[in-house]
Amino acid sequence: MRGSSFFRGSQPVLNALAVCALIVSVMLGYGVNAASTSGTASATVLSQISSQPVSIVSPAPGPAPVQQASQPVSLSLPIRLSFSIDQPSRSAGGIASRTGEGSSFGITMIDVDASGVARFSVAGAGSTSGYIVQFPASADSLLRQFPSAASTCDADAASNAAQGCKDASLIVPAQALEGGGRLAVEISQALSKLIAGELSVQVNYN
Amino acid sequence: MKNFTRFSLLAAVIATASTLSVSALAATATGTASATVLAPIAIAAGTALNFGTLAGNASGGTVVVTAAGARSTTGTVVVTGAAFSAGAFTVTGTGASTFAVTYPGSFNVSANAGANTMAVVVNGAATGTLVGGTVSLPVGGTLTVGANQVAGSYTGTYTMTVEYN
Repeated sequence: MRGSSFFRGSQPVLNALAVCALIVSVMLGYGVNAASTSGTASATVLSQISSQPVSIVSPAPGPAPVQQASQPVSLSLPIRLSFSIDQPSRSAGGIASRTGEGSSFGITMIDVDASGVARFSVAGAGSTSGYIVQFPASADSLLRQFPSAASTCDADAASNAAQGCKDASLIVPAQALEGGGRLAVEISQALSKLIAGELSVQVNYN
Repeated sequence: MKNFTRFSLLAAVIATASTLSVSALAATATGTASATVLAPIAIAAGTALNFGTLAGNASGGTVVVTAAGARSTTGTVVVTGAAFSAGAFTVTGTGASTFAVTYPGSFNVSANAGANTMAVVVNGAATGTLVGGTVSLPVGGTLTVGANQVAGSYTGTYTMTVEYN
């Protein structure tokens, strides 16, 4: 009887203890069953300077007849490429535009030698850890010539074959800056199937 | 005397019945109770998910890094040969327990003091199994690069959750 009275008198206390135990078990259960942490994601986007539309002209001497766009060019090497450059300004000064060879900032065509090797000079930021030379051109002109070219275009796709891939890209490994903050880009593969009016150069750099 | 005999007989029957009823109505056996207490599951960040270095251009696209560490692009995005990597976490817990993985929704990596962003979606295995109380959990992701994406070093964080099944 005394024991029974004790339990009856302690019922509220027991109830409270049961509730506490339940809460604790729920809290412990959550801690045991699940866990979270934070991870990090990163990417680096390069700055870029890119050329305006390009025309392929015949080499000197003599007047240089400009090839018409979209006409396949039967090149008699060496060739010379000329182009203008838009350089997105890093300051508030807006966009500066420079044209032709000899630009103090931008991409300058140096020459194309007898074997079809094109050389560009790129003047960019004070430090360069990587850059990309991009040749918007036809699939025929680039993709099938450069197996190592990393491109977002599929040369075998019917759509690209029909309209030509405008975003063929040749990735050039990072090189150190040369004297005067200029960077030489040498395209070692022969540019034997260029199509007039479709070649331009984009350089991205750190 | 006759009455006494009848009473004695009745008493004997009652006593016998009582004895028999006790053994018939109660029994005892031993039962077993058991419980397994799991070590708390935990997850720790390892290798960062790194999409590498890419070139912005006029139309943008995506960069995809799989959990296996392969990279591909869509659109006109061009990537350089700079290093890239899938992300990795380490999950620890009890023995060979299985667990479920919860990935975050889309989140942003940002650069230039948050002025420029790109969206990232992380993905990977939906479940995992501990081996000897630990396992590596690789993750991949898709980075969406905008048109004329502004140059910069983009970083961001995301939350991964694992839970015992």
